[in-house]
Amino acid sequence: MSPVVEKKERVRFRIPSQYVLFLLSLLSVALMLVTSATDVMNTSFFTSLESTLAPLQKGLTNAGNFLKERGDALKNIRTLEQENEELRRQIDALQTENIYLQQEEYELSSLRQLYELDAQYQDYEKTGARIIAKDAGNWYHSFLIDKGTDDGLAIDMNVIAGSGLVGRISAVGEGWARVQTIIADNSSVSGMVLSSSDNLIVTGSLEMYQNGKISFSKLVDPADRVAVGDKIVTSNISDKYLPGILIGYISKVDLDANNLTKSGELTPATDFEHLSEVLVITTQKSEYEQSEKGVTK
Amino acid sequence: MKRFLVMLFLLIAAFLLQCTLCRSILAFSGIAPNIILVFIVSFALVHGDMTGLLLGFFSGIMLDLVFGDMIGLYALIYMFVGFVFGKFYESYSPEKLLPSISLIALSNLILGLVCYIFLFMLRSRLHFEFYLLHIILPEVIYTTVISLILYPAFYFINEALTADEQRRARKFV
Repeated sequence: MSPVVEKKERVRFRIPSQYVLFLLSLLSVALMLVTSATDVMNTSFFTSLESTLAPLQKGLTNAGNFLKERGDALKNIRTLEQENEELRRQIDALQTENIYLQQEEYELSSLRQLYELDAQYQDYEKTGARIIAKDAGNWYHSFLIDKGTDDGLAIDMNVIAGSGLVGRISAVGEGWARVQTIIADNSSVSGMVLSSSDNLIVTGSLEMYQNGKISFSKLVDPADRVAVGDKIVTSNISDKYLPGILIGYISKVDLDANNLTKSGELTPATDFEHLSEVLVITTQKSEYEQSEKGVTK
Repeated sequence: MKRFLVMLFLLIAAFLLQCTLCRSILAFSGIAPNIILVFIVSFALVHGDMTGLLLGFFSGIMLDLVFGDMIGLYALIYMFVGFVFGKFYESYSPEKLLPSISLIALSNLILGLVCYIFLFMLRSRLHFEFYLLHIILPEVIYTTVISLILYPAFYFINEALTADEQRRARKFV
């Protein structure tokens, strides 16, 4: 035996590592099969594990955001001063514009009543939540928020930020919930072009998201009514997303090789890069449908 | 026992930092370094394949539990990475910085390729060039830079633990 090996006799493990590797591999494969085929991952045992980590993640993210804000603040003072001057000038212009707009607002609300087209998703019940952790890898875009079952959240609730759709809750535990975003490569949302009510499928794409875009496909539009700039909202036929939530704006439309459907790119309405707070809509699609039926009766 | 507790603490710390600070502050145009991997491979290099595979397995399980759709995929990948790089321990002197850093970079490249194959290629995302240039390689470079700081830290933690264990062993004999 060489002296190098003798030096390493202090290693205390006696089971050969190959056996451990083999056993743990079997365990992993078994777990993979069990957890992908059944629903055990959402049982309280698994979700409670993350619940213990959530407060720590929250603290770290808050600390990180604090540092980042401080750093940015120092950097930005000079640009802010310039901006401030410009903004003051803009305020004067906007104030006059605002008066006109207020007048138009009255007109708009009365017109909306006429069309029975009130801004629907302002009526949904919402609760705010902070992002506490993001997916560890660079492949997907899911993140964790600091509210969970104890705040009444449940799987498949829709998440929005500002005016646009962010995604839906894909796992939930006490004090945390995981949000699968619409820009993630493994997500699809059933959408609808607002102007023509044509249905389409919005799919996240890691490749396109480098340019800030995601893709859509399966749009049937023989009359060529859909154009660049049209709004895409969640459709009525989705079983997980509430209807009428803004997803984004079409930026490119192409006819598919089959000459029947169209696909292309859209720009999401939400700024996913600078997301730190989101709103969770606590009304779920199934409840929403029930209440709709109640109204129409 | 002491080593076990230190490892557990470092494992949780690496995991927490990875999905909070790494993703929010250190992320450079959306790409974050993989400090969990640096942690696993560093300890595999300085303490052998058993440490590597156990650390890999448990960090993978944590990732799966929190972010995965099923448990076991990351555990399997990280465990094999930890095991394979732990094999270098037998014929390698871990106090040299440059070879160790290169091995960490290599491990991240392998991890990136495996993740691409399992998570993307199997879903017919075949534009490999794009994923290599925009996700895998930036992550490798970033992780390498981070490991220049982290590897020496992990190396000295291991040295301290080993010295402590030897002292205790002598006391009991």
